[in-house]
Amino acid sequence: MSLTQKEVLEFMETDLGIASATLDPSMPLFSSGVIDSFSMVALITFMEKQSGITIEPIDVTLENFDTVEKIEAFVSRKKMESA
Amino acid sequence: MRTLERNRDETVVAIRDLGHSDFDTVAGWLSTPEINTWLTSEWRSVAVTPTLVAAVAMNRHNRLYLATCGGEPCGVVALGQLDESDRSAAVWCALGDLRLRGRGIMGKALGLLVHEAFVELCLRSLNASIMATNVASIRLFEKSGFRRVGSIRYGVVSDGKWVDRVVFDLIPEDVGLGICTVDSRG
Repeated sequence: MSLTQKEVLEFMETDLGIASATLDPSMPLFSSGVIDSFSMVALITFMEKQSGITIEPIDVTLENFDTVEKIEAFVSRKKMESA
Repeated sequence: MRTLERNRDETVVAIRDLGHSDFDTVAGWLSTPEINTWLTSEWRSVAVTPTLVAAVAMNRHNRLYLATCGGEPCGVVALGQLDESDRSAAVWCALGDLRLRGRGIMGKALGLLVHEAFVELCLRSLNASIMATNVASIRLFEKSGFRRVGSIRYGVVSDGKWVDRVVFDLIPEDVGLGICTVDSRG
């Protein structure tokens, strides 16, 4: 199953308490401090469950995770690599 | 980055930037109950995984360093809540290999971190917050020159009991270092 930006934003609102109306898909999440390291791990766990991919520690970079757009792109890439 | 110091028994203690290959080791240490019990609540309330260590290391407000002893990983020293505007950070550390207790290794590693913070990162002040029951760490920080500035009463729940947090600070002058300015760094 793929992971959409909408699903990521919904998770952030319901589980991390971050109002999705305040976010746009290109807004830095981690480097801006909107989410911290521990919330990032909760998000990663959610991404793995929703999409069926395995995220390695080496994957945890700003390039892959810092915006909702980057998260969606990362998951798509991972799914293609594992196909 | 690598800096070296010799421990009293001639074992070389060094610190270096935490790398991807270190995440498993550090996660294992911080998961150990004897170590985890002293960490802040976020670390105590979750499974400490390599992914979590990676996420913490990725955060630009943190700087994590692996302490090595004789070339072997033996602990972690870190700066957290790094504030680039106010040039301050919180210090924490953990000896990962508990067989090495009592040998002054973390004292050396902490000294290297302090030097890194004040000289390389040009920070103006450091702080630390330690559970009042963590006598070994309190002694370590006092011996490293940190000044006890107060306590947060009932600041943490440890083993089901409220415990104070002892708060420390440190400035370059306390350890004989000059005050780094942005201009002086060249």
